[in-house]
Amino acid sequence: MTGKQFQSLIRRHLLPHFPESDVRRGLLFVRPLGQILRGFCFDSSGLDRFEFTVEVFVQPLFVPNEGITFSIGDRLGSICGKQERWWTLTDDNETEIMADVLKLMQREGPVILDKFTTLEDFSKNAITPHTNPYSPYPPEMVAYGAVLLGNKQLAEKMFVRLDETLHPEQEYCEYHAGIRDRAHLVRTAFERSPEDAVGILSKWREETVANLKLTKFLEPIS
Amino acid sequence: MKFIHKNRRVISFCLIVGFLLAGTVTPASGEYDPRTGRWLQADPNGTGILLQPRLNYHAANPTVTVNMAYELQFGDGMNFYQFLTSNPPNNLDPNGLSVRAFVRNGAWWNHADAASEAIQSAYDTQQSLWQMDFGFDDYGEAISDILYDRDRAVGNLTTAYVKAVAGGGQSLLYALAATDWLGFWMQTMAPDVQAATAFPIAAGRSLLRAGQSFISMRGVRTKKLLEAAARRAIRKVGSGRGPVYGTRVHTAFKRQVRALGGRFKTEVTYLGGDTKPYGFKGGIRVDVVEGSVKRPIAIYDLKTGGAKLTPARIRQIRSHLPDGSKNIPIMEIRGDR
Repeated sequence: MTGKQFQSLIRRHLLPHFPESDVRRGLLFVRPLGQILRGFCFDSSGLDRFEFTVEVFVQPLFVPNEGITFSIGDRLGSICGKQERWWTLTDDNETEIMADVLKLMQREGPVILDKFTTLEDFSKNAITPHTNPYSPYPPEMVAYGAVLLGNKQLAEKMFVRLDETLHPEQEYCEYHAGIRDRAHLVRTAFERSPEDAVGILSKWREETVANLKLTKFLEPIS
Repeated sequence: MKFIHKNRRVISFCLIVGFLLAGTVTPASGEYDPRTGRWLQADPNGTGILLQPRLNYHAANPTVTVNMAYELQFGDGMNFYQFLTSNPPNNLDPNGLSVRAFVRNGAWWNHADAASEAIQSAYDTQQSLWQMDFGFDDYGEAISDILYDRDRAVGNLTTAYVKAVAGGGQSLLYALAATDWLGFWMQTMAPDVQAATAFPIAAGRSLLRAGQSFISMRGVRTKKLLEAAARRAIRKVGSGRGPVYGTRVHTAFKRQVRALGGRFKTEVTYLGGDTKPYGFKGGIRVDVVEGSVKRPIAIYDLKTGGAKLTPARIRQIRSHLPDGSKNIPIMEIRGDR
Protein backbone atom coordinates (compact mmCIF):
# COMPACT_ATOMS: atom_id res chain seq x y z
CA MET A 1 0.00 0.00 0.00
CA THR A 2 1.17 3.53 -0.68
CA GLY A 3 1.70 6.26 1.87
CA LYS A 4 -1.33 8.13 0.56
CA GLN A 5 -3.56 5.09 0.94
CA PHE A 6 -2.35 4.64 4.51
CA GLN A 7 -2.92 8.33 5.21
CA SER A 8 -6.48 8.12 3.97
CA LEU A 9 -7.16 5.00 6.04
CA ILE A 10 -5.65 6.52 9.17
CA ARG A 11 -7.63 9.74 8.76
CA ARG A 12 -10.91 7.92 8.34
CA HIS A 13 -10.58 5.20 10.94
CA LEU A 14 -7.91 6.05 13.48
CA LEU A 15 -7.22 9.75 13.84
CA PRO A 16 -10.52 10.52 15.64
CA HIS A 17 -9.42 8.09 18.35
CA PHE A 18 -6.05 9.80 18.82
CA PRO A 19 -6.97 13.47 19.33
CA GLU A 20 -3.44 14.62 20.18
CA SER A 21 -1.98 13.11 17.07
CA ASP A 22 -1.44 13.92 13.46
CA VAL A 23 -0.83 11.94 10.33
CA ARG A 24 1.58 12.09 7.45
CA ARG A 25 1.52 9.27 4.94
CA GLY A 26 1.76 6.01 6.91
CA LEU A 27 2.86 7.75 10.07
CA LEU A 28 0.49 8.51 12.92
CA PHE A 29 2.43 10.52 15.49
CA VAL A 30 1.82 12.22 18.80
CA ARG A 31 1.85 16.02 18.91
CA PRO A 32 3.46 18.30 19.92
CA LEU A 33 6.50 17.26 17.95
CA GLY A 34 9.40 18.26 20.17
CA GLN A 35 12.60 16.33 20.67
CA ILE A 36 11.04 12.89 20.34
CA LEU A 37 8.88 11.43 17.61
CA ARG A 38 6.42 8.92 19.08
CA GLY A 39 3.84 7.10 17.09
CA PHE A 40 2.77 4.30 14.80
CA CYS A 41 4.27 3.54 11.42
CA PHE A 42 2.19 1.59 8.92
CA ASP A 43 4.63 -0.65 7.13
CA SER A 44 3.62 -2.26 3.87
CA SER A 45 4.54 -5.77 2.81
CA GLY A 46 6.97 -6.03 -0.06
CA LEU A 47 5.14 -9.08 -1.39
CA ASP A 48 1.43 -8.35 -1.20
CA ARG A 49 0.50 -4.71 -1.71
CA PHE A 50 -2.64 -4.97 0.41
CA GLU A 51 -0.85 -6.45 3.37
CA PHE A 52 0.63 -4.36 6.16
CA THR A 53 1.87 -4.36 9.71
CA VAL A 54 2.08 -1.55 12.24
CA GLU A 55 5.16 -0.63 14.21
CA VAL A 56 4.92 1.27 17.48
CA PHE A 57 8.09 3.28 17.80
CA VAL A 58 9.91 6.12 19.44
CA GLN A 59 12.61 8.07 17.61
CA PRO A 60 14.75 10.81 19.08
CA LEU A 61 14.83 13.55 16.47
CA PHE A 62 18.18 14.95 17.66
CA VAL A 63 19.97 11.86 16.32
CA PRO A 64 20.66 12.43 12.62
CA ASN A 65 18.61 10.12 10.45
CA GLU A 66 17.56 9.84 6.85
CA GLY A 67 14.10 8.64 7.78
CA ILE A 68 12.09 6.64 10.25
CA THR A 69 14.03 4.20 12.39
CA PHE A 70 12.74 1.57 14.77
CA SER A 71 15.56 1.47 17.31
CA ILE A 72 12.94 1.61 20.04
CA GLY A 73 9.67 -0.17 19.47
CA ASP A 74 8.16 -3.26 17.98
CA ARG A 75 5.41 -4.48 15.71
CA LEU A 76 1.87 -4.62 17.02
CA GLY A 77 1.13 -8.06 18.31
CA SER A 78 4.67 -8.79 19.42
CA ILE A 79 4.82 -6.11 22.09
CA CYS A 80 2.95 -8.30 24.53
CA GLY A 81 5.10 -11.28 23.62
CA LYS A 82 2.90 -12.80 20.96
CA GLN A 83 3.10 -13.17 17.21
CA GLU A 84 3.47 -9.96 15.21
CA ARG A 85 0.30 -9.04 13.34
CA TRP A 86 -0.15 -8.48 9.64
CA TRP A 87 -3.43 -7.49 8.05
CA THR A 88 -4.63 -7.86 4.48
CA LEU A 89 -7.15 -5.34 3.20
CA THR A 90 -9.80 -6.38 0.73
CA ASP A 91 -12.69 -4.44 -0.76
CA ASP A 92 -15.11 -5.45 1.96
CA ASN A 93 -13.09 -5.78 5.17
CA GLU A 94 -11.70 -2.27 5.66
CA THR A 95 -13.85 -1.32 8.67
CA GLU A 96 -13.31 -4.63 10.36
CA ILE A 97 -9.56 -4.60 9.79
CA MET A 98 -9.08 -1.03 10.95
CA ALA A 99 -11.16 -1.71 14.08
CA ASP A 100 -8.83 -4.59 14.85
CA VAL A 101 -5.79 -2.40 14.23
CA LEU A 102 -7.22 0.29 16.48
CA LYS A 103 -7.85 -2.18 19.26
CA LEU A 104 -4.25 -3.36 19.18
CA MET A 105 -2.92 0.19 18.90
CA GLN A 106 -4.83 1.20 21.99
CA ARG A 107 -3.76 -1.88 23.88
CA GLU A 108 -0.09 -2.11 22.94
CA GLY A 109 0.79 1.45 21.91
CA PRO A 110 0.92 2.90 25.42
CA VAL A 111 3.29 0.13 26.52
CA ILE A 112 5.98 1.81 24.42
CA LEU A 113 4.76 5.37 23.93
CA ASP A 114 3.98 6.23 27.54
CA LYS A 115 7.51 5.40 28.58
CA PHE A 116 8.99 8.16 26.46
CA THR A 117 6.99 11.29 26.96
CA THR A 118 9.88 13.53 28.08
CA LEU A 119 13.64 13.67 27.64
CA GLU A 120 14.03 12.54 31.25
CA ASP A 121 11.86 9.51 30.50
CA PHE A 122 13.99 8.87 27.50
CA SER A 123 17.22 8.88 29.47
CA LYS A 124 15.65 6.54 31.99
CA ASN A 125 13.92 4.06 29.71
CA ALA A 126 15.87 3.87 26.46
CA ILE A 127 18.28 1.34 27.90
CA THR A 128 16.76 -1.64 29.66
CA PRO A 129 18.12 -5.09 30.52
CA HIS A 130 16.61 -6.27 27.22
CA THR A 131 18.40 -3.67 25.12
CA ASN A 132 20.97 -5.12 22.77
CA PRO A 133 24.23 -4.39 24.63
CA TYR A 134 26.23 -4.37 21.40
CA SER A 135 24.14 -1.80 19.59
CA PRO A 136 25.64 1.69 19.52
CA TYR A 137 22.26 3.33 18.96
CA PRO A 138 20.78 3.24 22.50
CA PRO A 139 23.85 4.73 24.23
CA GLU A 140 24.13 7.32 21.47
CA MET A 141 20.54 8.43 21.94
CA VAL A 142 20.79 8.55 25.71
CA ALA A 143 24.12 10.41 25.55
CA TYR A 144 22.65 13.14 23.34
CA GLY A 145 19.50 13.25 25.48
CA ALA A 146 21.70 13.76 28.55
CA VAL A 147 23.55 16.55 26.75
CA LEU A 148 20.24 18.30 26.10
CA LEU A 149 19.32 17.88 29.74
CA GLY A 150 22.72 19.17 30.81
CA ASN A 151 23.38 15.94 32.72
CA LYS A 152 27.16 15.72 32.44
CA GLN A 153 27.53 12.56 34.47
CA LEU A 154 25.05 10.55 32.43
CA ALA A 155 26.33 11.99 29.15
CA GLU A 156 29.90 10.98 29.97
CA LYS A 157 28.82 7.51 31.07
CA MET A 158 26.92 7.02 27.84
CA PHE A 159 29.72 8.36 25.65
CA VAL A 160 32.07 5.85 27.28
CA ARG A 161 29.55 3.06 26.73
CA LEU A 162 29.07 4.16 23.15
CA ASP A 163 32.84 4.07 22.58
CA GLU A 164 32.89 0.50 23.84
CA THR A 165 30.29 -0.59 21.30
CA LEU A 166 32.02 0.99 18.31
CA HIS A 167 34.40 -1.05 16.17
CA PRO A 168 34.55 0.75 12.83
CA GLU A 169 37.62 -1.24 11.83
CA GLN A 170 35.78 -4.56 12.02
CA GLU A 171 34.17 -6.21 9.05
CA TYR A 172 30.45 -5.37 8.68
CA CYS A 173 30.77 -2.46 11.12
CA GLU A 174 31.79 0.29 8.72
CA TYR A 175 28.81 2.43 9.69
CA HIS A 176 30.26 2.73 13.18
CA ALA A 177 32.72 5.32 11.84
CA GLY A 178 29.91 7.81 11.16
CA ILE A 179 28.42 7.28 14.61
CA ARG A 180 31.86 7.69 16.23
CA ASP A 181 32.53 10.94 14.35
CA ARG A 182 29.25 12.58 15.24
CA ALA A 183 29.46 11.43 18.87
CA HIS A 184 32.98 12.88 19.04
CA LEU A 185 31.66 16.16 17.68
CA VAL A 186 28.95 16.42 20.34
CA ARG A 187 31.19 15.22 23.13
CA THR A 188 33.96 17.72 22.46
CA ALA A 189 31.44 20.52 21.99
CA PHE A 190 29.78 19.58 25.26
CA GLU A 191 33.12 19.66 27.08
CA ARG A 192 33.89 23.04 25.57
CA SER A 193 30.48 24.62 26.03
CA PRO A 194 27.14 22.88 26.61
CA GLU A 195 25.39 25.49 24.47
CA ASP A 196 27.50 24.51 21.47
CA ALA A 197 26.52 20.87 21.88
CA VAL A 198 22.84 21.79 22.22
CA GLY A 199 23.21 23.89 19.06
CA ILE A 200 24.57 20.90 17.11
CA LEU A 201 21.75 18.69 18.34
CA SER A 202 19.15 21.32 17.46
CA LYS A 203 20.53 21.51 13.95
CA TRP A 204 20.43 17.73 13.62
CA ARG A 205 16.86 17.74 14.90
CA GLU A 206 15.81 20.12 12.18
CA GLU A 207 17.60 18.04 9.55
CA THR A 208 15.98 14.81 10.72
CA VAL A 209 12.56 16.44 10.79
CA ALA A 210 13.15 17.75 7.26
CA ASN A 211 14.18 14.25 6.12
CA LEU A 212 10.97 12.91 7.62
CA LYS A 213 9.08 15.72 5.87
CA LEU A 214 7.52 16.77 9.15
CA THR A 215 8.87 20.34 9.29
CA LYS A 216 5.42 21.93 9.31
CA PHE A 217 4.55 19.99 12.45
CA LEU A 218 7.69 20.95 14.35
CA GLU A 219 7.12 22.82 17.60
CA PRO A 220 9.70 25.22 19.05
CA ILE A 221 11.62 23.89 22.04
CA SER A 222 11.15 25.99 25.15
CA MET B 1 10.04 -49.04 30.29
CA LYS B 2 7.54 -50.03 27.64
CA PHE B 3 4.79 -48.34 29.61
CA ILE B 4 6.86 -45.15 29.89
CA HIS B 5 7.67 -45.20 26.23
CA LYS B 6 4.04 -45.76 25.23
CA ASN B 7 2.75 -43.02 27.47
CA ARG B 8 5.61 -40.69 26.93
CA ARG B 9 3.51 -37.73 25.86
CA VAL B 10 1.05 -38.09 28.75
CA ILE B 11 3.90 -38.39 31.22
CA SER B 12 5.62 -35.38 29.69
CA PHE B 13 2.50 -33.34 30.01
CA CYS B 14 1.96 -34.42 33.63
CA LEU B 15 5.55 -33.54 34.44
CA ILE B 16 5.18 -30.11 32.94
CA VAL B 17 1.89 -29.46 34.67
CA GLY B 18 3.43 -30.74 37.87
CA PHE B 19 6.23 -28.25 37.55
CA LEU B 20 3.76 -25.52 36.88
CA LEU B 21 1.56 -26.37 39.82
CA ALA B 22 4.58 -26.50 42.04
CA GLY B 23 5.36 -22.96 40.91
CA THR B 24 8.99 -23.81 40.71
CA VAL B 25 11.06 -26.85 40.00
CA THR B 26 13.11 -26.41 43.13
CA PRO B 27 13.20 -29.86 44.65
CA ALA B 28 14.54 -28.81 48.02
CA SER B 29 11.64 -26.91 49.51
CA GLY B 30 12.35 -23.84 51.56
CA GLU B 31 15.24 -22.62 49.43
CA TYR B 32 13.25 -20.58 47.01
CA ASP B 33 10.18 -18.46 47.52
CA PRO B 34 8.07 -18.43 44.34
CA ARG B 35 6.03 -15.45 45.56
CA THR B 36 8.98 -13.12 45.81
CA GLY B 37 11.08 -14.83 43.16
CA ARG B 38 14.06 -14.89 45.49
CA TRP B 39 16.16 -17.43 47.33
CA LEU B 40 15.39 -17.58 51.01
CA GLN B 41 18.95 -18.30 51.95
CA ALA B 42 22.23 -17.37 50.42
CA ASP B 43 23.44 -19.96 48.00
CA PRO B 44 26.45 -21.51 49.74
CA ASN B 45 28.34 -21.71 46.49
CA GLY B 46 27.52 -18.25 45.32
CA THR B 47 25.51 -19.28 42.31
CA GLY B 48 22.27 -21.03 41.62
CA ILE B 49 20.09 -21.70 38.65
CA LEU B 50 16.37 -21.30 38.77
CA LEU B 51 14.02 -22.72 36.23
CA GLN B 52 10.63 -21.09 35.93
CA PRO B 53 8.24 -22.75 33.54
CA ARG B 54 5.45 -20.73 31.97
CA LEU B 55 2.65 -22.32 30.02
CA ASN B 56 1.24 -20.87 26.82
CA TYR B 57 -1.70 -22.46 25.10
CA HIS B 58 -2.10 -21.63 21.43
CA ALA B 59 -5.76 -22.01 20.63
CA ALA B 60 -5.42 -21.42 16.91
CA ASN B 61 -2.87 -24.15 16.54
CA PRO B 62 -3.66 -26.39 19.50
CA THR B 63 -0.29 -26.78 21.13
CA VAL B 64 1.08 -26.12 24.53
CA THR B 65 4.34 -24.25 24.73
CA VAL B 66 6.36 -24.20 27.88
CA ASN B 67 8.64 -21.24 28.25
CA MET B 68 11.50 -22.05 30.51
CA ALA B 69 13.01 -18.94 31.96
CA TYR B 70 16.42 -19.48 33.41
CA GLU B 71 17.69 -17.10 35.96
CA LEU B 72 21.03 -16.96 37.63
CA GLN B 73 20.83 -16.21 41.30
CA PHE B 74 23.93 -14.75 42.84
CA GLY B 75 23.61 -15.38 46.55
CA ASP B 76 27.11 -14.21 47.38
CA GLY B 77 27.87 -11.99 44.43
CA MET B 78 29.43 -12.70 41.10
CA ASN B 79 32.91 -13.54 42.29
CA PHE B 80 34.08 -16.47 40.23
CA TYR B 81 36.74 -17.40 42.76
CA GLN B 82 33.92 -17.97 45.13
CA PHE B 83 32.47 -20.17 42.49
CA LEU B 84 35.64 -22.19 42.73
CA THR B 85 34.93 -22.45 46.44
CA SER B 86 37.21 -19.52 47.25
CA ASN B 87 40.13 -21.84 46.80
CA PRO B 88 41.40 -21.54 43.25
CA PRO B 89 44.77 -23.22 43.87
CA ASN B 90 43.13 -26.45 45.00
CA ASN B 91 40.00 -26.35 42.89
CA LEU B 92 41.24 -25.60 39.45
CA ASP B 93 38.72 -25.67 36.70
CA PRO B 94 40.90 -25.06 33.70
CA ASN B 95 38.23 -25.63 31.09
CA GLY B 96 35.36 -24.10 33.01
CA LEU B 97 33.41 -27.30 32.77
CA SER B 98 34.39 -29.21 35.82
CA VAL B 99 31.42 -31.24 36.95
CA ARG B 100 32.87 -31.19 40.46
CA ALA B 101 32.44 -27.46 40.52
CA PHE B 102 28.87 -27.73 39.44
CA VAL B 103 27.81 -30.48 41.77
CA ARG B 104 29.39 -29.11 44.92
CA ASN B 105 26.12 -27.53 45.79
CA GLY B 106 23.52 -30.26 45.89
CA ALA B 107 20.61 -27.98 45.18
CA TRP B 108 22.39 -26.65 42.17
CA TRP B 109 22.69 -30.07 40.66
CA ASN B 110 19.10 -30.90 41.43
CA HIS B 111 18.01 -27.85 39.55
CA ALA B 112 20.09 -29.00 36.65
CA ASP B 113 18.53 -32.44 36.80
CA ALA B 114 15.09 -30.97 36.90
CA ALA B 115 15.92 -28.72 33.99
CA SER B 116 17.25 -31.62 32.01
CA GLU B 117 14.19 -33.72 32.70
CA ALA B 118 11.89 -30.91 31.73
CA ILE B 119 13.80 -30.29 28.56
CA GLN B 120 13.82 -33.93 27.59
CA SER B 121 10.17 -34.44 28.37
CA ALA B 122 9.25 -31.45 26.25
CA TYR B 123 10.53 -33.11 23.12
CA ASP B 124 7.78 -34.69 21.13
CA THR B 125 9.24 -37.68 19.34
CA GLN B 126 6.14 -38.38 17.30
CA GLN B 127 6.11 -34.98 15.70
CA SER B 128 9.87 -34.45 15.98
CA LEU B 129 9.15 -31.11 17.51
CA TRP B 130 10.26 -29.34 20.60
CA GLN B 131 7.16 -28.30 22.46
CA MET B 132 9.25 -25.93 24.45
CA ASP B 133 10.31 -22.51 23.40
CA PHE B 134 13.57 -21.66 25.11
CA GLY B 135 14.14 -18.12 26.19
CA PHE B 136 16.73 -17.31 23.61
CA ASP B 137 16.88 -13.70 24.58
CA ASP B 138 17.94 -14.71 28.05
CA TYR B 139 20.41 -17.20 26.68
CA GLY B 140 21.68 -14.59 24.32
CA GLU B 141 22.24 -12.22 27.18
CA ALA B 142 24.07 -14.83 29.17
CA ILE B 143 26.39 -15.91 26.43
CA SER B 144 26.90 -12.45 25.10
CA ASP B 145 28.22 -11.35 28.43
CA ILE B 146 31.03 -13.79 27.90
CA LEU B 147 31.49 -12.98 24.28
CA TYR B 148 31.48 -9.27 24.75
CA ASP B 149 34.93 -8.94 26.26
CA ARG B 150 36.40 -11.96 24.57
CA ASP B 151 35.06 -10.96 21.24
CA ARG B 152 36.83 -7.68 21.39
CA ALA B 153 40.03 -9.33 22.47
CA VAL B 154 40.13 -12.03 19.82
CA GLY B 155 37.95 -10.57 17.14
CA ASN B 156 35.68 -13.40 16.19
CA LEU B 157 32.84 -15.29 17.60
CA THR B 158 34.12 -18.81 17.11
CA THR B 159 37.34 -18.21 18.92
CA ALA B 160 35.46 -16.16 21.44
CA TYR B 161 33.37 -19.15 22.34
CA VAL B 162 36.35 -21.41 22.72
CA LYS B 163 38.00 -18.79 24.86
CA ALA B 164 34.89 -18.48 26.94
CA VAL B 165 34.91 -22.17 27.62
CA ALA B 166 38.61 -22.20 28.26
CA GLY B 167 38.40 -19.14 30.46
CA GLY B 168 37.16 -21.12 33.40
CA GLY B 169 34.81 -20.36 36.20
CA GLN B 170 31.75 -19.78 34.08
CA SER B 171 28.53 -21.34 35.16
CA LEU B 172 26.77 -24.34 33.74
CA LEU B 173 24.08 -22.02 32.47
CA TYR B 174 26.67 -20.32 30.34
CA ALA B 175 27.89 -23.64 29.06
CA LEU B 176 24.39 -24.66 28.12
CA ALA B 177 23.76 -21.30 26.55
CA ALA B 178 26.88 -21.71 24.52
CA THR B 179 26.07 -25.17 23.30
CA ASP B 180 22.49 -24.26 22.65
CA TRP B 181 23.32 -21.12 20.80
CA LEU B 182 26.09 -22.65 18.82
CA GLY B 183 23.80 -25.51 17.94
CA PHE B 184 22.74 -23.37 15.06
CA TRP B 185 26.25 -23.16 13.89
CA MET B 186 26.89 -26.83 13.70
CA GLN B 187 25.60 -27.27 10.23
CA THR B 188 27.22 -24.40 8.52
CA MET B 189 29.97 -23.02 10.67
CA ALA B 190 33.51 -23.73 11.66
CA PRO B 191 34.54 -27.27 12.62
CA ASP B 192 36.47 -26.02 15.65
CA VAL B 193 33.16 -25.01 17.15
CA GLN B 194 31.96 -28.56 16.76
CA ALA B 195 35.07 -29.81 18.47
CA ALA B 196 34.66 -27.28 21.22
CA THR B 197 31.05 -28.17 21.85
CA ALA B 198 31.82 -31.86 21.96
CA PHE B 199 33.68 -31.44 25.21
CA PRO B 200 30.97 -29.78 27.28
CA ILE B 201 28.53 -32.37 26.05
CA ALA B 202 30.71 -35.12 27.45
CA ALA B 203 31.52 -33.25 30.63
CA GLY B 204 28.28 -31.72 31.69
CA ARG B 205 26.24 -34.90 32.16
CA SER B 206 22.59 -34.38 32.69
CA LEU B 207 21.97 -30.81 31.62
CA LEU B 208 24.48 -30.88 28.87
CA ARG B 209 22.96 -34.07 27.54
CA ALA B 210 19.97 -31.92 26.87
CA GLY B 211 22.36 -29.48 25.27
CA GLN B 212 23.58 -32.27 23.03
CA SER B 213 20.05 -33.00 21.90
CA PHE B 214 19.73 -29.35 21.27
CA ILE B 215 22.80 -29.24 19.11
CA SER B 216 21.79 -32.17 17.01
CA MET B 217 18.13 -31.32 16.81
CA ARG B 218 17.56 -27.64 17.09
CA GLY B 219 19.34 -26.16 14.08
CA VAL B 220 18.29 -29.03 11.85
CA ARG B 221 14.76 -28.88 13.10
CA THR B 222 14.31 -25.16 12.50
CA LYS B 223 15.53 -25.43 8.95
CA LYS B 224 13.36 -28.49 8.34
CA LEU B 225 10.39 -26.73 9.86
CA LEU B 226 10.81 -23.81 7.47
CA GLU B 227 11.46 -26.10 4.50
CA ALA B 228 8.20 -27.87 5.31
CA ALA B 229 6.50 -24.47 5.38
CA ALA B 230 8.04 -23.67 2.00
CA ARG B 231 6.79 -26.98 0.57
CA ARG B 232 3.29 -26.25 1.85
CA ALA B 233 3.48 -22.79 0.28
CA ILE B 234 4.51 -24.26 -3.07
CA ARG B 235 1.71 -26.84 -2.90
CA LYS B 236 -0.75 -24.00 -2.28
CA VAL B 237 0.52 -21.85 -5.12
CA GLY B 238 1.00 -24.68 -7.60
CA SER B 239 3.77 -25.02 -10.10
CA GLY B 240 5.19 -22.16 -12.08
CA ARG B 241 8.26 -20.09 -12.76
CA GLY B 242 9.45 -16.52 -13.03
CA PRO B 243 9.38 -13.55 -10.68
CA VAL B 244 5.59 -13.38 -10.30
CA TYR B 245 5.49 -17.03 -9.29
CA GLY B 246 8.38 -16.38 -6.87
CA THR B 247 6.48 -13.54 -5.22
CA ARG B 248 3.39 -15.70 -4.84
CA VAL B 249 5.41 -18.47 -3.23
CA HIS B 250 7.07 -15.96 -0.90
CA THR B 251 3.67 -14.57 0.11
CA ALA B 252 2.29 -18.04 0.83
CA PHE B 253 5.51 -18.98 2.64
CA LYS B 254 5.29 -15.90 4.82
CA ARG B 255 1.80 -16.89 5.94
CA GLN B 256 2.94 -20.42 6.70
CA VAL B 257 5.82 -19.08 8.77
CA ARG B 258 3.54 -16.79 10.74
CA ALA B 259 1.39 -19.76 11.63
CA LEU B 260 4.44 -21.33 13.27
CA GLY B 261 4.37 -18.81 16.10
CA GLY B 262 6.03 -15.79 17.60
CA ARG B 263 9.62 -16.90 17.41
CA PHE B 264 9.74 -16.02 13.73
CA LYS B 265 9.35 -12.53 12.30
CA THR B 266 8.80 -12.01 8.60
CA GLU B 267 9.82 -9.29 6.17
CA VAL B 268 12.22 -7.30 8.30
CA THR B 269 14.26 -4.43 6.85
CA TYR B 270 17.72 -3.77 8.26
CA LEU B 271 20.08 -0.92 7.60
CA GLY B 272 23.28 -0.23 9.48
CA GLY B 273 22.36 -2.46 12.39
CA ASP B 274 18.91 -0.97 12.87
CA THR B 275 15.39 -1.85 11.74
CA LYS B 276 13.62 0.36 9.23
CA PRO B 277 10.31 0.48 7.38
CA TYR B 278 9.88 -1.28 4.04
CA GLY B 279 11.44 0.53 1.11
CA PHE B 280 13.99 2.46 3.16
CA LYS B 281 16.76 3.51 0.80
CA GLY B 282 19.74 1.17 1.07
CA GLY B 283 17.99 -1.21 3.46
CA ILE B 284 17.88 -4.98 2.98
CA ARG B 285 14.70 -6.95 3.51
CA VAL B 286 15.07 -10.49 4.84
CA ASP B 287 12.34 -13.12 4.63
CA VAL B 288 12.44 -14.69 8.07
CA VAL B 289 14.16 -13.63 11.28
CA GLU B 290 14.38 -16.01 14.18
CA GLY B 291 14.41 -14.44 17.63
CA SER B 292 14.07 -10.78 18.38
CA VAL B 293 14.45 -8.45 15.40
CA LYS B 294 16.77 -6.30 17.49
CA ARG B 295 18.93 -9.30 18.30
CA PRO B 296 18.23 -12.10 15.80
CA ILE B 297 19.70 -15.57 16.23
CA ALA B 298 19.27 -16.76 12.64
CA ILE B 299 18.12 -15.46 9.26
CA TYR B 300 16.36 -17.58 6.66
CA ASP B 301 16.00 -16.59 3.04
CA LEU B 302 13.53 -18.42 0.80
CA LYS B 303 14.74 -19.15 -2.71
CA THR B 304 12.76 -20.50 -5.61
CA GLY B 305 13.69 -21.67 -9.09
CA GLY B 306 17.30 -21.05 -10.01
CA ALA B 307 17.83 -18.31 -7.42
CA LYS B 308 20.49 -18.93 -4.78
CA LEU B 309 21.65 -17.34 -1.60
CA THR B 310 25.02 -16.16 -2.79
CA PRO B 311 28.04 -15.33 -0.61
CA ALA B 312 27.74 -11.72 -1.77
CA ARG B 313 24.14 -11.56 -0.57
CA ILE B 314 25.14 -13.15 2.76
CA ARG B 315 27.84 -10.52 3.20
CA GLN B 316 25.36 -7.79 2.35
CA ILE B 317 22.87 -9.09 4.91
CA ARG B 318 25.56 -9.40 7.57
CA SER B 319 26.72 -5.85 7.04
CA HIS B 320 23.29 -4.55 8.03
CA LEU B 321 22.37 -6.94 10.84
CA PRO B 322 22.24 -5.58 14.38
CA ASP B 323 25.50 -5.50 16.28
CA GLY B 324 26.02 -8.65 18.28
CA SER B 325 24.27 -10.67 15.57
CA LYS B 326 26.70 -10.19 12.71
CA ASN B 327 27.86 -13.80 12.77
CA ILE B 328 24.55 -15.58 13.09
CA PRO B 329 23.70 -18.28 10.54
CA ILE B 330 22.06 -17.05 7.35
CA MET B 331 20.42 -20.02 5.68
CA GLU B 332 18.76 -20.66 2.37
CA ILE B 333 15.34 -22.27 2.50
CA ARG B 334 14.00 -24.18 -0.46
CA GLY B 335 10.73 -25.96 -0.79
CA ASP B 336 11.17 -27.23 -4.30
CA ARG B 337 13.92 -29.80 -3.82
